Amino acid sequence: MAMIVYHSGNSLLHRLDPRVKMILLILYTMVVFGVKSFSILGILFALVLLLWKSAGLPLSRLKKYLAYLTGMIVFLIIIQSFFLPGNINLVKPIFPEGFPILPGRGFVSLKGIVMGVLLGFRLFVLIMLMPTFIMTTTVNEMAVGMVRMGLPYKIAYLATTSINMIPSLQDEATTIMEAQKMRGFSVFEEGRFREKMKAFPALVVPLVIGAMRRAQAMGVAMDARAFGAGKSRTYRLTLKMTGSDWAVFFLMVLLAALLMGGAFILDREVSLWNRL
Amino acid sequence: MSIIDIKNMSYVYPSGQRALRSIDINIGEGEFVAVIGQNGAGKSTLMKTMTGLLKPTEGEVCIEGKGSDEYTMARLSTRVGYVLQNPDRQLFSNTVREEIAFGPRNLGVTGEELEKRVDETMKSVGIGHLAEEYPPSLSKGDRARVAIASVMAMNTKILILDEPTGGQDFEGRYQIMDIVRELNRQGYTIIIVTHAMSLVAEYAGRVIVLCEGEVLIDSDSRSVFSRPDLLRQTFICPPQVVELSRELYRESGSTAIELTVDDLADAILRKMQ
Repeated sequence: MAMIVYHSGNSLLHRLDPRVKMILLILYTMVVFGVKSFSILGILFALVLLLWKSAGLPLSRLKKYLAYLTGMIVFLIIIQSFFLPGNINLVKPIFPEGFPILPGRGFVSLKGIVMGVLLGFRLFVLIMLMPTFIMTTTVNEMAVGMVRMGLPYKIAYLATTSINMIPSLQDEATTIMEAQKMRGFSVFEEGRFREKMKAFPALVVPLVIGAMRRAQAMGVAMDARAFGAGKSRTYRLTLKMTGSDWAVFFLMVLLAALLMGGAFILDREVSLWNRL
Repeated sequence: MSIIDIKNMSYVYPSGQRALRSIDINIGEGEFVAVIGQNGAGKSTLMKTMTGLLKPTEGEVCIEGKGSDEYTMARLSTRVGYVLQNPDRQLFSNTVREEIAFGPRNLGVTGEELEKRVDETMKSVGIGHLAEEYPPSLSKGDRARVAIASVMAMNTKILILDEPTGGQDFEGRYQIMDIVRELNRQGYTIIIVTHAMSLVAEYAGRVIVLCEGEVLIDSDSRSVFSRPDLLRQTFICPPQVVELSRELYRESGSTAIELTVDDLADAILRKMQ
């Protein structure tokens, strides 16, 4: 049921220092955003896939992610092909030249389609990237990692608690939808997109109110146990960068630099489809 | 006539956890059934198979003579009403009136008929004066009533309530149980899950005891509470008044029990006269 939960294991990725993982996650997110070339994205995709495999993460999840993203990707392709001007249009512009806001737009450009596919691919690689950190790092490791990188403990606690809340919120969402099914409400299963959007409050209102009640109760429970009373605190879990942590870190940074460099060199590939 | 017929039914969760094992239960129209047992005994899973939210792994669950998998969810929701343990998970509208109208509206009820149904439902659980209130701002007892009303408005014959008195104070518990009893008198088939044994003894005609996914006892409440030895297996104690009456009767060599304080008081008075 839960899409993002810690997946126990003892792979290299699991053993890696959480700080290294966090920095690399941010770095590679930027790389994925910065790359416009299909080949480099392909290499990134293969790399992340390799990480998934080596960490023993369930590859069946990827299918689910793709299923969730399909709508979004189709939307991106449509929007891009409609509004991104290119040289080859499959359909003549719907809006005339003098049209306000969107003069001469509303075509189906080949370039837009390619751009849409690229954005979709990029999105998928990004979504794949997250679990390599979240599913291989315990919440404790994340918290201590963040604190050691200089974040205030309260912020680290906030971040990790929200991650902990995800599975229980998912459970709650299921329960709410069950309750509504029992009242003859079948929009979430068989409704059309517009109906689903209209039905959204029925799910979100109880979920948000429940989360707020819970957060309030949690705040009281934390205060009752003197949360934040100590000026500086110690941790049971201590982190120490080992030689292999450093090695992985530098290797991955180097690789990221290479990929960015490669993307720069492959600029010709980009300009190729840019001409479409 | 039996309205729910469960035949040799087992349920195994996708995770492989076996929750129910060869259950055979037959519930007649108009019965008032309490399902009791420890946490994790399978009570909620059993309720969910009756509502059609879960499809049995083996065997079948028949509602009004038809297998639960032959119904669509929308269809089944007009036969079986299910009130969740936590009312807050099913309330989301801006007013109590809208909340109660939500279910029938999904079934295509509109206009005056809808208004009438909503008004009647609110009246029968005593929340008519709260019609324009914002549900989350109500007291816990009232929220529970709105939840019950919202399910009742589906006009089902069967009403399943999962711990309807959880978190209620003494008075609130009895108020809710009185509403439920009144519904039972009007012809509803009632199935409740609860941990409050005194309420079971006082209200339910029939008790089903679940233990580790199996039916331990299924009988009228008097026979069930006459078997403290068996109940102990699943860590259930009969209400204190039942225990007291048992001790008192034992003096005269009887194995009889009384289920409620009133019954015991009457019996003692009779004896004294």
